Amino acid sequence: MPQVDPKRNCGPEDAYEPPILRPTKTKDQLPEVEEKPRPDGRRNDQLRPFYMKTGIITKAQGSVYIEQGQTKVVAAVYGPKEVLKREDFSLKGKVMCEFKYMPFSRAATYSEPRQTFEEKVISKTIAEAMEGVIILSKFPKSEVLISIQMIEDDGGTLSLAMTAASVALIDAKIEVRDLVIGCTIRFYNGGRILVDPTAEEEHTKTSEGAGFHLAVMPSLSQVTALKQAGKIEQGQARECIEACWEGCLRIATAVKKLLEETLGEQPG
Amino acid sequence: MADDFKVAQPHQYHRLFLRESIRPDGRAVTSCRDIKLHVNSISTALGSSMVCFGDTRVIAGIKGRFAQPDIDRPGEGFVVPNVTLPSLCNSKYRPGMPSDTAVAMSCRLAAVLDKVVDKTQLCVRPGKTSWCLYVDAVCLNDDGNVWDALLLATSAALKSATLPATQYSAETDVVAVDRDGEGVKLKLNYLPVSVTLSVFDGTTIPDPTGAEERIEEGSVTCCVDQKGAIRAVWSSGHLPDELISGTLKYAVTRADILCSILQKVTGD
Repeated sequence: MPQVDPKRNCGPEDAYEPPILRPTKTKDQLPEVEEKPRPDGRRNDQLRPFYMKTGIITKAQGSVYIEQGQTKVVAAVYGPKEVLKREDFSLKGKVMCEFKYMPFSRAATYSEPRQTFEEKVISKTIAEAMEGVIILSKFPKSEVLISIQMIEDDGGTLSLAMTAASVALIDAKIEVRDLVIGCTIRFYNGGRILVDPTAEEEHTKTSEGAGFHLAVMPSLSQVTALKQAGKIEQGQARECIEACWEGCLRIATAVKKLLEETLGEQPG
Repeated sequence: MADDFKVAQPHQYHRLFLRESIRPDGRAVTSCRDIKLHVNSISTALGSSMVCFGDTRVIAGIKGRFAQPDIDRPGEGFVVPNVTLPSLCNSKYRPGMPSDTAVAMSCRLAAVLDKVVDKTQLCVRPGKTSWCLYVDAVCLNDDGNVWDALLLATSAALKSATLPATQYSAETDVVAVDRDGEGVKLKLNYLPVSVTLSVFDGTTIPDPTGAEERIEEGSVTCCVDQKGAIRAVWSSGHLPDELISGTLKYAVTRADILCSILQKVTGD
């Protein structure tokens, strides 16, 4: 039930998501075993088409728009700016992140304009990941604001948001140790690993299995963020992380090439 | 050098341009920025649009939920508009609670859209179930005149939106959305567009950029429908009396151009 928000038009309190007559895919059609093809016909390790454009928000110091399949995200970086409160003065810069799903971005549900608990957790995850990447000692008593809006959610949002935040930081010419590239995989109990799942593949409720989000610094071979949800055995976890890492490296090649073309310099 | 002068003495900077009958971005005094309009690129929304007025960029989208109709209006649905000005679009907006500007815009959008949608078509089962349409406009880049862009985006999203087909099952007493059924286009009583003019040094300047908004002495916003009828007018600051009728006349002419762009992109 949406909470009453005095600063926005809330609509009726008892509004609910409409039930769907026939779910889009029955259990038989889901890609849980090797024989069943993925809904869009990709191989297990095939990534979706990737599009990136920097400098899209002219008011920000750095910005980027990324599309991975149907998932669309826009990120902007403001700063470094002087911190407003005296208590927040520190010799290291601060990183703030605001992540938000646009109200119409998710197929299954309306995302209320007020930032939800889930979005606050994602914001904190991205801010902490970026703290490890930005050379914070270069801007004391200042803060950097990374603002990310998810325009359409078709799976892999956390990873794509990490990639977008990192590219926006580079576009803002803030000193970073390396690019951060994120990749998502979906693991099914039969042992099948799908790289870069769509929303349909990510959220299938009919089976157990796990979703992995991994964010890495490709040149430094370091992990900045790892998130796993679901149940998985130890041996299988290793396989999943390797599949994620491989996905990240491939996306990194594409991102580096696009950045070279737009910025004319080698990042990292 | 010019940039320093622009920041240190913005009024004088703009005055020098107006003396030559030109604006800092090269436009003639009475001309508006180029408009880009795309509709329905977000598959998760019932209708969506993206509008660019020069650098100002806005996205609008519509989501639907079910709700029980009001007791006094059992045959009508709900329309819930909201405006979001995220920290993404300009450094003057901080993350967190919506700014006063955003709250005012949400109220104004609700007032302007009040009679636009024919709410009787949103009723699915009188007294039991009706659609609640959430109309959200999010600003991506604020370079002045966000309100006009927001209203154009909202009108385009409403015009291109499709209400999904529904089916009622008597055994379970549940109304569900039928994804395979044919949707219905929203019935709109009229299509509002808006024209904003700034007043500076006794000259009216239509479609102000961010810099021009900061130095304006007053402004007039006029909401007009596709037949040329004036639906709402409001002003701020101080305006010379003799300018008012001229600005309304200009607004109606300009609104005609906006409506024809809307017609061309959304069809029929």
